[in-house]
Amino acid sequence: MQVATRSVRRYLAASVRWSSTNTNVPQISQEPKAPVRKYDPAMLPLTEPLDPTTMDFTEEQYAATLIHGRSVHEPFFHPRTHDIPVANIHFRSHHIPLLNLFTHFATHAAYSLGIPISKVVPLPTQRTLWTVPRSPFVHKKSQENFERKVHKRVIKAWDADSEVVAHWVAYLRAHVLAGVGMRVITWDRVPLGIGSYPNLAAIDNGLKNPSRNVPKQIANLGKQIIKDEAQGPTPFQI
Amino acid sequence: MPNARVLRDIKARYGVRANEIARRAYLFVARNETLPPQIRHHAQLQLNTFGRYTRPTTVKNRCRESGKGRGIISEFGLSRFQFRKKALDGELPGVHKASW
Repeated sequence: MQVATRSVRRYLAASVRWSSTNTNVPQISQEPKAPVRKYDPAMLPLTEPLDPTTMDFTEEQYAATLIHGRSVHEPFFHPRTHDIPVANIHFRSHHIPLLNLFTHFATHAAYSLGIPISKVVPLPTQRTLWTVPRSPFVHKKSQENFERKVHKRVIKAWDADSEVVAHWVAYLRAHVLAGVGMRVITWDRVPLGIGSYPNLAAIDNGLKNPSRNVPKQIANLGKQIIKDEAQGPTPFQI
Repeated sequence: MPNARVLRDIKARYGVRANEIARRAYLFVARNETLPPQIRHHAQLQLNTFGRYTRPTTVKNRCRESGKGRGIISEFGLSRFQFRKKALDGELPGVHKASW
């Protein structure tokens, strides 16, 4: 409330000043300002939350005061309550540091959303090797080896509501790290009788790849050809 | 300008795609042993009227940089030498020199 009245008063003073003088030089307001305290790390740990109306600090500084330096540590892993799997997220990358950074980010996000997750589980690294001759033509004796490694991690999630998991996935997708691939597997709970849902067949057909109809088209055309051939040769048209 | 072999391959890919269903329908008739021989023979004659660039075996994987037809690393669609060049330049994500 106090902030609003203060700003209104400042606005009125400025308008009066612009109407009285025609110069383009802005003048410093002579009004007394509310004392602004600076953010000071020495105040840590705080006993009560910082007040943005009386203090001067950035959002990052504010966040750091909540639990000091929490982002550099492992997050708290919420305990599982029912052991119902809801999601697996696979991460893969050619670079381990990127993978570590992003899985760290993902675990902290899951902690903040209250999702019980596993630790980051490493999966076997996929290694592909190529050996090619160095030269464009012959000289097979001189060859060179190349490799590509795909490092993989997986995080499993349990017990969370599907909406919360969707938020988590959307958050990860929004802050996706270049060079890190993500594959999300989710399991949703559906009500009984979903099989008789009227549009289910239509949705299922819509998801199908159109190339799956090719064998059917071939069979139909084949039957047509057999039918035409069985009728005998077409007479000449004069 | 791509060379003649690359152009021929492009032509074959278009031709195969346009004629795939009709060709395979005639094959279905011609190889169906339960049908009378005359119908199967006619279907075979029809098959012979398709051009050479409608056969799927005409399609050949070629290097997309140099157009070379041999030594293709299919994952990248490159010939072995172009693969090496690009890998050394760091243009293929994650591929680097190895030794063991």
